[in-house]
Amino acid sequence: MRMLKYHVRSSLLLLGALPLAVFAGGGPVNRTVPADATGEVEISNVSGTIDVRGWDRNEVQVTGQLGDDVERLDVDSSGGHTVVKVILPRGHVGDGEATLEVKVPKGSTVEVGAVSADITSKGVLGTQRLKSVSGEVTADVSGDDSEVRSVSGDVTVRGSGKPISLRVSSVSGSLDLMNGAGKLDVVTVSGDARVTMSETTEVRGRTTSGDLTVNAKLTRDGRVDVEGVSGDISLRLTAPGGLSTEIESFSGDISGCLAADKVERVSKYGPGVRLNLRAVEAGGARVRAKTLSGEIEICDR
Amino acid sequence: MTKPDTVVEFDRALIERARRGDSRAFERLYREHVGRVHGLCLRMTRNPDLAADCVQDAFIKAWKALPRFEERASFSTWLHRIAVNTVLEKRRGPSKAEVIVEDPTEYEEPVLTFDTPVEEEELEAAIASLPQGARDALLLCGLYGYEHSEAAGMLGIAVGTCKAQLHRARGLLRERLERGVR
Amino acid sequence: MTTRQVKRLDELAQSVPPARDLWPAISAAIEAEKAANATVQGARRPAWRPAAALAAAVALVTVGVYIGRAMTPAGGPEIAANAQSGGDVVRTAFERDADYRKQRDVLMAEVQKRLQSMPTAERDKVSASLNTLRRSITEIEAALGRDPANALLQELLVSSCQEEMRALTAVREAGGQET
Repeated sequence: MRMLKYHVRSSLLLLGALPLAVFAGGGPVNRTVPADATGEVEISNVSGTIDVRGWDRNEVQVTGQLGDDVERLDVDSSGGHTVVKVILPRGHVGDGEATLEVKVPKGSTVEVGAVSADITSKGVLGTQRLKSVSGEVTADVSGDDSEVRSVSGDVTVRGSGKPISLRVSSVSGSLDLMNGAGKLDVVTVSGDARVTMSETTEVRGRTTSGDLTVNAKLTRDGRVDVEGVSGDISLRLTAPGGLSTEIESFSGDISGCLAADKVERVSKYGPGVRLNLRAVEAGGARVRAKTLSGEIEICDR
Repeated sequence: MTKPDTVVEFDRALIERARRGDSRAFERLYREHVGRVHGLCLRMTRNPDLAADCVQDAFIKAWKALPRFEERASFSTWLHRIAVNTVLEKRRGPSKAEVIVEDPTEYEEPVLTFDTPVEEEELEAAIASLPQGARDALLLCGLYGYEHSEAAGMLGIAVGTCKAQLHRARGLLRERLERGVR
Repeated sequence: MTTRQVKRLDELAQSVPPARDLWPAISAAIEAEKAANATVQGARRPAWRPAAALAAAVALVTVGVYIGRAMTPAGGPEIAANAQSGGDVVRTAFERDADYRKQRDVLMAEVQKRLQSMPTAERDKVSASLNTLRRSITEIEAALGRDPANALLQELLVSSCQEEMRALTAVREAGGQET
């Protein structure tokens, strides 16, 4: 009976046998480990900065500076998965800053978690999941199924114009997306969100009190579905087949070049206004926008 | 994967009652089937929280869709179909742009066996490490025993693609198990 | 630890029970839909809106999904006393579930702890956002109290509750990167 051969290629043996790379705090760091061209890289830092750069080498290189309060930096790579993690002492109070520049194979899937560290990312073509609590996140994103999230930090994302599925959210920070395309899910509570997209198949947006602005070129059968409570919504949308709309506000106004004289009251006796339009052609894009008291502005040019 | 007739009859009686709004009957169906539904969702999503979400979503959708369930079909398969759909919806992306070369004739493969026994944990980890499309096909065909056509239907892909993904999955799985020396 | 060994892929267990019982959340959603179907008549439903929307019944299904995940609206008891119909059905769905109440309390305690550990400026910013969410929910409920059959308000209420859950969870999970 043929035995399942365990071909342990020498480079893989090296990967599997690499000891956990540990750097004590308070000093410079410089470490390079082999990595898969399309492997996963997971980076976490509490405070300071994380600067991610995609490059052409099948290696992850970590350089930077660890603050005195940092207990250590772990760099571990095995099975196509690389972890770069800043460790602070248990029960630690204080900054524990680390400034990290991490170069990763550009096809990597990158996950970054930070508390107050700012995150920047450039040149990564794979999926990115970037999360910070209060740090700012500034990223060039072109990988499908990517997510960029912050709780109170501002988020700035530049797409590549290539259609992908992207989720961007903040609780109290502002959100800016430029040159996006494809599908977008954007959520803010009180920060303002501004989105510019080409070739858009779907935008789902949600705001509570922040203002939401969407400039998008929709595809045939594209969809926009946005909701707000008191935040204002501004939609500048073009679509080859025209727009069908289902727009309603409980106590806000509806305005814009599309609205013209077509806004009607929901009921003769109660509050609420709506704008329901049918696209002229089949395959028109569909727009749905609802608010409680926020203003809704919509224009198709 | 055929159940004894008594079990099928039992299911049918519960389904009939559930259709009429009897949520306790539906609970019994839930208890009977949740393990298999969750097993599939967990391995497809690789995330226990997301898997739990998918299971809940799937059963709620199933409740609402009961009027449309055809009695001759297998309830278990129907639930799996809804679960797979739920997972795919939650993945939130366009289908992966990989181009799979389809050659349906090549990929009639027997059940995946290992000459040397493999630890369950190691096998699960290797499955979890597979790319999405390959993993989906391997789970549905290789573990849950669906025919290529059925699995392809659930995943919304062509049968040839499903076979190609399965073939790819088997190759990758062997490779990863070979590499996986601790 | 060594686990069982297998020689065939299909020797792996097909059935893997979930770590916790998911039935309470499913049951709450089913019961809420049944109750809302009885209460809400003629709710408008736009043709292409996905299921998680308009009529309270459909919206509550989505809300029910969150119950089991310990992503909970902060204010069961704080829901405006005047809310009728839509608000009441939402509250009923939540309060029926003892698991949900327990998980909500745990989530709120964790969120408070997380807020306390944040620097003041950031804590103030995040608390202000969470308060904005809570106020918006109260505002919608007040409007619903005066206009209980209003489908737009019902939908906004449910999605605001969902947003609050999402924000609370984001705050709770934030800072999990430390050690």
